[in-house]
Amino acid sequence: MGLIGVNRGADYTGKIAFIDLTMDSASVEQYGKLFTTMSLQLAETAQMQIINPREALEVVSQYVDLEDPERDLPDRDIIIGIGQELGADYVMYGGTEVGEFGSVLTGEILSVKSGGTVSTIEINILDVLNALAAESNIASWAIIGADPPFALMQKRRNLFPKLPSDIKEEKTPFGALWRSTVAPGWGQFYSNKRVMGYAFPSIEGLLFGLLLFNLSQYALAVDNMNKTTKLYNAETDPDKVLELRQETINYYNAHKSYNDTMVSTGYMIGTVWAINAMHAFLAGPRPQKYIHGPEPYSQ
Amino acid sequence: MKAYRLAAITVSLSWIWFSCQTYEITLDNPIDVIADSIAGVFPPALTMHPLTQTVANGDSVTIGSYIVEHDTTLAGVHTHVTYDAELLQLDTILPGVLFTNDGTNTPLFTYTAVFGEFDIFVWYLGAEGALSYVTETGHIAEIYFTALNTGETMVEYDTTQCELVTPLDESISIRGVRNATVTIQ
Repeated sequence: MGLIGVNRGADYTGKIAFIDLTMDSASVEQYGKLFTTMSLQLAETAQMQIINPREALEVVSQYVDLEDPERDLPDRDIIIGIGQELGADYVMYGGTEVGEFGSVLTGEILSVKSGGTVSTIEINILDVLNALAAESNIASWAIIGADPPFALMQKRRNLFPKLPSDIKEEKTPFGALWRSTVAPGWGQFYSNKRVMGYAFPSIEGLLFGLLLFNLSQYALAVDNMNKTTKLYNAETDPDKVLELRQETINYYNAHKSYNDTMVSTGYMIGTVWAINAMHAFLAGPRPQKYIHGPEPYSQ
Repeated sequence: MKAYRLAAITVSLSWIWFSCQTYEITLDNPIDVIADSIAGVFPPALTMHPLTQTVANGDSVTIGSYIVEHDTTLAGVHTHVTYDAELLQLDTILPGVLFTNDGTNTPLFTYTAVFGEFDIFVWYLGAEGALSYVTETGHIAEIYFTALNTGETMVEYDTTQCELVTPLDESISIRGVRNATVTIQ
């Protein structure tokens, strides 16, 4: 509740404020500690800066009755307003709700400047607790060098989706593919492959620069070729006729040469574009297989 | 929206496609010995410039008469030229710069014209051993016509009556001619 931190992450830089967590009564203390820990983790990063939590609490208390255990989350506009008053770039707010599958901790990060949602996170607390219990039991067997019973391994597996295809990913390889097909590097950024995300458009940019340079030289050569051809046809001085003939042939050869270079550059652009699209697909985000460890059903 | 995208893509691809065209050039100036050789006309040759022209009825028509690469001493030229007198009317013929050498020399220059044909005579006068001559490609005469009626006519050399001579009055064989075509609209 009212935890304020400053976040300067890899994707986003600036200040972030954790505000007004609404919780179910059983877990206020537990989850309050959890968010304190989260803010401290963010503060550990080199890019982080922290706003005084007390200062934030004072601002939040102007809009929210912190003494009311039944309070609702404030409106989005109010949350943005709190962030502006605090001078934060981002605001993270959230809470827990008891749903069909237990307590779900939900957090959402908003951009104070745009008002848009930067990201959301959902953690099923029950899953976390069950996972801790299962891993503790498995560790009891592992510590004496024995294979855990199948039932324990099955429990571990059941904590995760049954098949990788059951894992619903917001980002997909096809999402990366079409983005990179439209604009080189877009799919790589979408997949968080930043190095290649910069590399592909840079290479394409260079090749397009080369293409445009050759296109301008080609156009110049064609223009000069047409001019000298006209002069050649009209010329009646024998010496100048031969000079203009050679000059026209030189421009003719130049325009063919630049054209050949343009075609080659076009092929290179197409090839790099195709590689970029394939890379985006292959390196695109996809469900990780066997995230629960060795497949127990294979025994 | 899809139609706009399709149009944009089509225009872009067309622009790239047409930008990648190569052009062919036709270098066919009758004064150019290389162009003449490609056209199957080998020197020494009598040519006219321009090879073709299109004019309006009543316009002036100017044609240059040239000798290309005679490759020996040339002291005199006689050309016999025919044309369709129904379409063209000969106005005058002026000497070219080859024999006058921009006024340095004074050749004898004369022409005779009858209906639909004319003869041009250019030669140097002098005693044997002290004769003037030229050796290069050059302009023999400039011929001026007026277009009378619509149609197409050739202004052409009659090689059976044309003659090139050396200072020693030896005849130089003419290996080729290139005539002019005039279209009157």
